Amino acid sequence: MNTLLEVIDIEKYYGFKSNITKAVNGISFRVENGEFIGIMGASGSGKTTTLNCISTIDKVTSGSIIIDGHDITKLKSKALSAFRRDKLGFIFQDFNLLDTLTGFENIALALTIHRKSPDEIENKVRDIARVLGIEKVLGKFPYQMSGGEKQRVASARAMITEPKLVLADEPTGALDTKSSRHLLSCFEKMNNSMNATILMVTHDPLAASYCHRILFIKDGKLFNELNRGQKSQAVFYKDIIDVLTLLGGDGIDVV
Amino acid sequence: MLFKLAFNNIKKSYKDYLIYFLTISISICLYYMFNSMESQRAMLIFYEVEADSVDVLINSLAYVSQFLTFVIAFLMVYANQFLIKRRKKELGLYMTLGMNRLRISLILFLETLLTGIVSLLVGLGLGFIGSHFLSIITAKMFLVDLKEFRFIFSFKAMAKSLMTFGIVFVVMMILNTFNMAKVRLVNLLYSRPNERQKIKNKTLSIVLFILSIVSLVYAYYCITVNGMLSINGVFAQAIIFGIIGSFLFFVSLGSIMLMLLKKNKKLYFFQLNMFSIRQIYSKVNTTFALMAIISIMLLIAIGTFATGNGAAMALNQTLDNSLPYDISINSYDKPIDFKDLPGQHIPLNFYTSDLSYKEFAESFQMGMMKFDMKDEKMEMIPLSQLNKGLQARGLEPVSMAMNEFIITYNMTDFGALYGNRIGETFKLAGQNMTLKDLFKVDLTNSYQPMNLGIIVIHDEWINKDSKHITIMNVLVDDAKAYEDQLNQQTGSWSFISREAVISQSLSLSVLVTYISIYVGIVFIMASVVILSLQQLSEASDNAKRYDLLKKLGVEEKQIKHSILIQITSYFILPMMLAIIHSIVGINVSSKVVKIFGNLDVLENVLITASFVLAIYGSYFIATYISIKSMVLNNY
Repeated sequence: MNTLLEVIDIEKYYGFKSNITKAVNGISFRVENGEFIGIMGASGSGKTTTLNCISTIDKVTSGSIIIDGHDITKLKSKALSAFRRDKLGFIFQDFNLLDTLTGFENIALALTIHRKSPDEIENKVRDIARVLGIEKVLGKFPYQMSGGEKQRVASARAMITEPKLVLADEPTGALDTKSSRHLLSCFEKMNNSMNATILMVTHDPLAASYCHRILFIKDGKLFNELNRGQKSQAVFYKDIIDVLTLLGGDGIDVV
Repeated sequence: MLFKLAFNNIKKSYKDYLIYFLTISISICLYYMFNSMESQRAMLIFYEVEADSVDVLINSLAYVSQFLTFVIAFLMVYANQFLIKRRKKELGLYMTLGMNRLRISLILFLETLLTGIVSLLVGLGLGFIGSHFLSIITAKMFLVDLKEFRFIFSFKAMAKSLMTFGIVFVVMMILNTFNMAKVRLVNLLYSRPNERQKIKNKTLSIVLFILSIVSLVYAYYCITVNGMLSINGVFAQAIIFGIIGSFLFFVSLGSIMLMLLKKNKKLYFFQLNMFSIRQIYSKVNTTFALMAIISIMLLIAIGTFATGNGAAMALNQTLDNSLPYDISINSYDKPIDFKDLPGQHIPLNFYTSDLSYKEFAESFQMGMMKFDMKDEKMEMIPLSQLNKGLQARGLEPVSMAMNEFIITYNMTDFGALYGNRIGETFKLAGQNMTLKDLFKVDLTNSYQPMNLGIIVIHDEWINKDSKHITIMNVLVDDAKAYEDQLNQQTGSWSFISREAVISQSLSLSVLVTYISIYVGIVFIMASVVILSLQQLSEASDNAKRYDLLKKLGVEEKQIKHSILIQITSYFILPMMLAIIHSIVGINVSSKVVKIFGNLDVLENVLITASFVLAIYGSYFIATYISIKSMVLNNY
């Protein structure tokens, strides 16, 4: 396996001279191609900031992030748009579907900005909808869908362009347990069948237990790393809970 | 503390709603300008007749501006309600923090008061400057000189503006308080915009669209057949079906548009087109009623302006050619001794001929009026008198053989009636006479061209007994003195003096021009402000959508392009229908205008278009720029 993402000693400071908050304080890690990796941590630990920096939405104060051979901390804003379009896929906690577009159109949008042909768009959307089980909601507007359906449509939108890296920010945050499981098995499916590399930020141990590997962040620093290996999901879930207990404080109340 | 909060709120929203504040200010400015005309006239030198005309102008403007105040008041109250609605969340936050309704109402009260004061000051300031330009223009239009240019501030107009707009602001305050009193916190905090995408039945949309086209065509038919002047059942039908048609048009427009655009997949699935089209679709579907109202308001604006401007143009043009003499005396009781009077006197005798109009046409249609000429005999004048008049005016005299005659006329349309008969022989004055030529000429002063065709023949053929009137045309340096002198000599006489006609006609055309501009500006402004507020208030919602697009990797250039397409369509759709309405409307109304004189349609259309475009365009640009900055800067 080759390295897709390499985060080298990134720091992100907020505020001015006397009043600096170190949201991220020297984090380094690697993600291999085809991995399904989770980042966990309490709120305020810097996990979302890290994700934002990787997703080029935010800029690091120092350090570098290399995705597929490109150091994104050195790209200009126009190149960043193109980079996001071509290499990244996004899944958000609050779905972020466009309410004026139908499910089909929401997914197709990712392809139209890639200037794909109408026929190709049609076929690809149908294909991915079949994989994620959302064929029925393609003609519906977001307000007519359940939370789980919305998030699967959003996932389809993120995956349809076959991005190098899919970034998911608390994708199960607004879903009930059943929908969460459904969504996460979709993630697994996409990870397996489409060889999609997924980086997921979450504080839900259940969601995390679907990952291959989990990074724990505390106070802007890497705290621990957990590999699933050949463990069953249930065992891995226990391990996660143990680390969270170690992390202490806020970590526990999410269980 | 409350004051500070109110002040900061205004400062914050001032940037977003600059267009709204400017519009209120412009409205106040216009109001002041047209109401201060009375004071401004002190600068101008008027003749007595002109002074009377100016009084009419001032009074009429006062009435029109009262009517327009209602439109402006409606606009302000609407916009205010609209803005308050958009701020529900903020108000809800105050309430959860424990502020009571009364204090929130007080904040809104203070905000309205502050905006009121600022916009009144700005408006009056602009009005003060504008009123002086208006005086200069008025002077130019009345062809009089400015006595001396000085700055005049009309306290009366200021008091009137303060009172009128004060009342509007008070109404706004009362409505705000009333709104706050009945509102519930849960609604304030969780007011989800209920812009749900209704999935519309395609067949229903098509049926409604066809219905709208049918009722619009029927309305156009009614108004074309009926015209503007007779207000009756047919006229009412035209209005009602026009309104129904406009509403149905916008109800179904969105779906029809979407259906057609979706057919073209290459276009629909190209970059952000799908997003832009859906945005426009949702906007049209949620605001169809407003769009219909706006298109009707635009029709009023365009119609009034084009018709008014056309009428003024026609009036001015008529003036140039229907007043050949300083005075034309039409009739008098006692014989007048013209020898004692100054100036040059050229009498013109009118005789009844034995040739009837029937020879040329039974009836003649001009504008809306139909002339029945079955039994009318044509009038004639002797050649010698015509030539005397022409010579006195420095024109070439006319000559012809003994057995020839000429027809004079000054209503352009009548040229065609006689033109193809030149060279033919008619039975006239008991002889066979040949029509030698036509001559477009003004024989006497008249308010508008009235000569349908008068025969000129050699004096020898005229039967002196058939004379029915003599008009005395006078060329004199001081017409005013001449009139006074004549008044002393004789009691009752009627005359048309060039000065009086010009003054009356000018004041009418100035009045019509001012009213049409005033009405035009107010209605266009009202429409366009509503459109732009709708767009601006949604900018924050849309900012989220554009944020997402950026995250998906859409370039800024494409987002700007999409914003431009959306705003353009939103501004153009109501305008489009209004223009189609106006084409029909102006066609009909120009028939009315033709009664006053000839109308250069192309010139009028160009003037109207540039006038409308200037206002519409500047609001459009302002809206686009502020939305772009609101959407793109927060990233």
